[in-house]
Parts: sequence; C-alpha cells; structure tokens
Amino acid sequence: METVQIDSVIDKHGSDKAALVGILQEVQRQEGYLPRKTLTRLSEKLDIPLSRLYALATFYRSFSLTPTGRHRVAVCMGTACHVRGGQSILDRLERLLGVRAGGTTLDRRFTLDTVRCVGCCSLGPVVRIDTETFGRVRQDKLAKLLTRF
Amino acid sequence: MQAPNLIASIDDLERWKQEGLESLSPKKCKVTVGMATCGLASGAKAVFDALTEELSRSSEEVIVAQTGCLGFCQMEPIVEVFRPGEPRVLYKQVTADKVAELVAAITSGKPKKEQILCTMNGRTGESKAGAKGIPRMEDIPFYKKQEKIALSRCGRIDPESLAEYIATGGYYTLCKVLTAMSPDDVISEVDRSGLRGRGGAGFPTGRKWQLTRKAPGDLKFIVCNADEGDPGAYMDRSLLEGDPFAVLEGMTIGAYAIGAQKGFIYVRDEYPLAVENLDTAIAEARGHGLLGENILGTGFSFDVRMIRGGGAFVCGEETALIASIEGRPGEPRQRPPYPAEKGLWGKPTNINNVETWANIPWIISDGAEAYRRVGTETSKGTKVFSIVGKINNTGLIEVPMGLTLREIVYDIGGGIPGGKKFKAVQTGGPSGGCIPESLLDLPVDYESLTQAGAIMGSGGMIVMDEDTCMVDVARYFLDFLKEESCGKCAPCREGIDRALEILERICQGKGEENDIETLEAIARMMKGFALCALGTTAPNPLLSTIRYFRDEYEAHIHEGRCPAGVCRNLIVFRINPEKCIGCMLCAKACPQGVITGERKQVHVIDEARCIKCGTCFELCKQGAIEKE
Repeated sequence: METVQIDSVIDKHGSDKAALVGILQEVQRQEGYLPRKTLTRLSEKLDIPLSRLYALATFYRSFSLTPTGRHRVAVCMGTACHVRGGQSILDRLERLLGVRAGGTTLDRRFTLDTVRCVGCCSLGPVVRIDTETFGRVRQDKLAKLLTRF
Repeated sequence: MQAPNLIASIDDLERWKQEGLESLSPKKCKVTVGMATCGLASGAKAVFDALTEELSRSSEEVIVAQTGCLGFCQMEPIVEVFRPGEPRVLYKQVTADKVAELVAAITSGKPKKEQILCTMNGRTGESKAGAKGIPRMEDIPFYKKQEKIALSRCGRIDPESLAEYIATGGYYTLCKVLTAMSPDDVISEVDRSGLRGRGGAGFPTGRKWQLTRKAPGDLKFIVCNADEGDPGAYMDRSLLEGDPFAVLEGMTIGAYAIGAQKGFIYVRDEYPLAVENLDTAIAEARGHGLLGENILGTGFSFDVRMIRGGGAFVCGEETALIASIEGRPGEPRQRPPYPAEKGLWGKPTNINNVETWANIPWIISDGAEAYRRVGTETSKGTKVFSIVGKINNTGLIEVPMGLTLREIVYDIGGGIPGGKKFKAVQTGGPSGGCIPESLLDLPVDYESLTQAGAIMGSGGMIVMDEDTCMVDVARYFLDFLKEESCGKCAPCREGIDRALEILERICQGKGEENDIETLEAIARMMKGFALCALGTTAPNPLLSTIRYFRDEYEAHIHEGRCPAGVCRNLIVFRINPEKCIGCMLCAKACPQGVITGERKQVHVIDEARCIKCGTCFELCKQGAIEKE
C-alpha cells in the first residue's frame, strides 16, 4: 500500500486507539491481508509499536498475515449447521481444494475458512463464498458450485 | 434560526408521522420484499429485481419496497402485497421465476391462495379483520403464541426510513423523556419493569443503570453490545437490520438517564447488512437532530460511534469488549471493579445488549406495569429466540417469558422434521446446556433454565433429534471454545484443551474407564477458577450432556458404540442387499469411488476405504444404506 493510501485510511477512521481495529480491517479489505510493510508504515504514522499491531493482527480472526485467495469460501460451523451436517461439507471442500481450513490454494484462487454462524440457520448447512450465501448445500453439489467462481 | 429539516418539536414529529403513514399505507398498490440476511440468502434480491422489472411493464403503478425479517425464515423470500383498503397479504417462498404469476395475481386482484402465508396487520391502525379464506397472522401456529415488543416493527417498516419509524410511534417516547421526565424517573420506570439483561446474564437493567448513574465522575459512556457470537443465535442481527432506530432511541434514553454523552455500538464483523443499516440510521438521526448536539431542541447532547468487531467470540464479554474498543486484544480482566464503576478508559460505562436497548422505548411509553403483566414472577416481559436445527419452522420468535419449551418446539416450531424423535434443545450457546424431553414442560425463564443445567443465554435454541450424538455436541462446543479462548488464564486455556482431548478420544472409540470422572473434575476446576464467564461456563454443555445423556457416554466408552450414528470411527456404512435396487446413484456420487456394483445389481461398499462422508446415505432413495 502506498503511503498516500495509508494516509487516507487513517483520515477515514481516525488516529485514536479506538480506530485501530477499523484501520486494520480496511487494509485487510483492500489488500486481502496485512502486509508487513503496511504494518510498519502504520506503526510509524500512528506512533504505535509494531508489536502492538501484531498483537491485534494475531488475536482477531478478521486478519491474515499471509496473502489470501481471490475468493473466500467460508463454511458455517455454527451449531445449527453442525447438526445438519456442516462438518461433512467442510471435509468435502478440504478434499476438493486440497487445503485445510484456513489455507489458500496454490493458485491463490480460493481461501477455505470456517465461520461460526452467519445467522441463516433456517438454510443450514450454509456456505458463504465472498458475499454470496448458499443454503441447503449438499456434498455432491459442491464441485459444481465452485466452478462458478 | 432552525434548519428546516431538524426535528425539534411535537409538530415536527407529527409532520414526519404523516409522511411515514403515507409511505406505509399509500394510495397506490405496494409490494414489499423481506430483504434481511435470511431473505437475501434465499434469493430475495433476485425477487426484488424481477418485481421491479415486471411491474414497470404493468399499467398500474405499484410501489416496490424493502423490509426486515418477519421471523418466519423458513418461508423466505416473503413478499407483502398491499392494496389500499384491503388487508395486507403475505406471499411465502416467492422465487424469481414465480414473480410473473404473482404480478398477474396482484394486478388482477385475484390472490393465489396456495402461495399465501397469511394476512398481516401493518401497525398503522388498520383493521384486524382478515380476508376471506386466508388465515390471519395471529391465528397461524407459528405466530399464535408470540408477542412482539422488541421485534414489533421488524418486517413491517423499511429499516432505512425515519418517517416510517416515527409513524409507528418512534421518537415520541424520547420526546416525552427529554421534556417531561427526569433521569431518576426514567431509571425508576426501567427498574420497576423488571427488565433483565437480554444478552444472557440477566442482570436487572434498572439496577445497572442506577449503579452507573451513581458512580463518581462526570464523563460516562454507554455501550450497545452487538457482538452476538453464539452460533445459532441471530436475534440481534435481525433487530439491527430491521429496526435500527429502536436501538438508537433506547440508547439515547439510557444516556439521558445515566448522564452519558457518548455511546459506542460494538457490532460483530460478520454482520455486514446490520452494519450498513445501522450506519444509515445513525446518519439519518444525526441529520435530523435526533442524535448529536441539542437533540430535539432540548439541549441534551448524545452521539454514537459504531465499532466493528475483529472476529473474536470472547469480545462479547463486557471487559473484553472494552479492551477491544480501546484498541487492545480482547482479553477480559478481573471484576470488580465492574464497568459501571470503571469501564471504558476507566470511566463509568453501562453496557447493554441490543435486545435490552430495543425494549426501552416500549417500557417508557407503555409503562412498567404493562411490561410486568407479561412474563413470570422473576422474568418479566418477552424474549426473542432463534429456533433452529432439527425443527420444521426455523426462524426468529418473540414470546412471553413463561411459555414452555414444549410449546416453543411443537406449537410454534411445528415439531421435528422427517418424523424423527426429539432428543434435546440446546439453549445458551457454548455457555449453555442441553435440555431433554423429560423437561420440555419447563417454563422459559432465567431461573428454571439455570436450574435445569442450561442458561437463557442470548436466545439461541438449537433443536436436536435422535440423529444427534450428545457426546459429539459436547466435543463441538469445546472445540469452538478452544479457538475462541483468549488464552490469558490457565484454568480456561488448559482446562478446555484437556477436556477436548478426552472427548476426542471418546468419540474415536478410545474412551477410558475414568474419563467421565476426569471430565467432571476439570469442569469443577474451570467453574471455580476461570477469569471470565467464557471459562466458567465452558463446562456447561459437557456437564448437562453427562447429566442427561450419560448412557451415550457409556456406550462410547465401554462398548465403542455411537448410538446416534454420528462418530465416524464408530460407525460403518453398509448396503442392505434386500433394499438395494442397483440404481448406481451412490456409486456415482461416492467421492472415493469405493462403491461397486453394476446396474440392477446389489451394490457393495468397500468398508476399508470408506471415509464415512455420508453422501451415499443422504442420496439413497430406497433407504438401503444403513449405519451400524
């Protein structure tokens, strides 16, 4: 991220401590992860130790320190989806994509992740790909679903 | 001189009310699509677009609008049809391909009865009589026993419309509070109502407000905890998506009562639509003098800031939430001192859940006595629950405290799908417990649920049937908590790890003689010594499943058997040769290719290579695949 862009992120969110998580989320959204260079520059601009930013980056699930895929496949592992077979959906996706939950495919097309409850329990089991939510997902229909992305 | 768009008097409110009423009950025909997250996930956007497109070609001018969640998520996408002078009609499960038919039905004035759910009262003073041959909302089983206070506007107004909010009673209460009530009057009313925190702990709200008000210091804060993290619970999300102004009005009343000038709304990161609608509402309120400086022209100032969570369940705990707002990792701290005394940046802070705030305007306008008439002796008012899992009518409900679990599961929920047998209802999320069939006649209130080994929690109710393994449920919750534990204190960090290890062994058929006793000892340790409620309540699902389903644990440990047929290591998938018709459906779908068999020949599963994914079991229409 260019210095100019970092400035505008800080301007948008504010430079007080309450804005920190918001700033990091903006970087995550724009870059797809938190690059070390960006964190270093943020640390300089906000006058906050880099270790502090790393503490936030490693504590909160929203953040990734490594580049993520173009598409984020998130399997809901909430209780309602779990009793409707959410684990089997995750297992099948792990096999299809060749990565464990949290991993990114080598061609950087997909990042597979889990999420605990997106609040669409009536449609369980649920898979969210980017901003689209798919309900009543079946194991045998997953491969076809992925071809859409 | 006053800017023309500022609302600063009853007259101003009346003008807005008229505008809102015209919007809610226009002189033209209007169709409204449920566009909350559950609606959108079911395809509501496509329906909205198709309706707009189709209606643009009709000769009659029809308004197309959006609204929040009506609670009957199973029936989404839901479309409300309004014709002036007629009862509103709700169409269920409307998909984009059915839109042309629907539009024809609307313009011809001939409703398609098979696709109608019920008629609905829109809260604009219209008649409660229904339409011939169509049930009224309050008469159908899903809605019959419900009573809406917090959710009264969800699904009935456009959440982005300030005018519609005012037309349905909004902001009149704030006006009354700021002009005719003292802060002590407000606290007294909330206290007498008996309202208890709806986030889960059930602490008396009036008392918390009083403590914060009395705490020394001039700078005080209020917080709305919208970090709804219990999997399966989405009440707060629906409230924020469907009626965000109610939360803002409640918070403003609270700020006045407590003496705070600034508020924070901490919203879970995974709720983008709630964040968006809240953003819109905050901007609208500010723009019209209902938030910020000199609210309603009374001289009282209060403003809010929305903070998004970073994806950490533990931040629902109040001291962790405070740490998170302060820009630190969400690690809880010791209490006392409680936030009412020392909260954000060491200042007195009152933290309440979304649903709690949403109840406030109603309590002040209708009065504490009216609120007390609903509910039980110790738990007054209503509670919003999400009923999900193995249940026919999945959705969001609001019922008076004291209704029984049986009524919720069977009368409202419509019972268990597929003719399966009820096993348990889990309440309270990872801090809660499982309630078995024998206790279904328990009235839902704080005390009775706690005595049964569960907790009220934020309101998630997950129904489980004969195909749910209760040992696996305990394992599932501990697995969740292991990821979400902040790691600061040893009892929680180590306790969860060790308990999870044991449960995983049990689920793999490697259970040992003293496992149950060891698990109980770990549970006692965590309950006694963990730093925060995540740790002290983590053993609840485990303890409640041991209490009511000990036989399942013993079957796993002593017989290496999973009675519900869930734990992979303990089940074998076999094809019953008498039922198999050789259709090859399973063989083609098997991801590992371990099912062999020619067309019209009995198929066989290679048990050694079977990975127990269950695809064949789900697909077989003959019921020929059996789990042993």
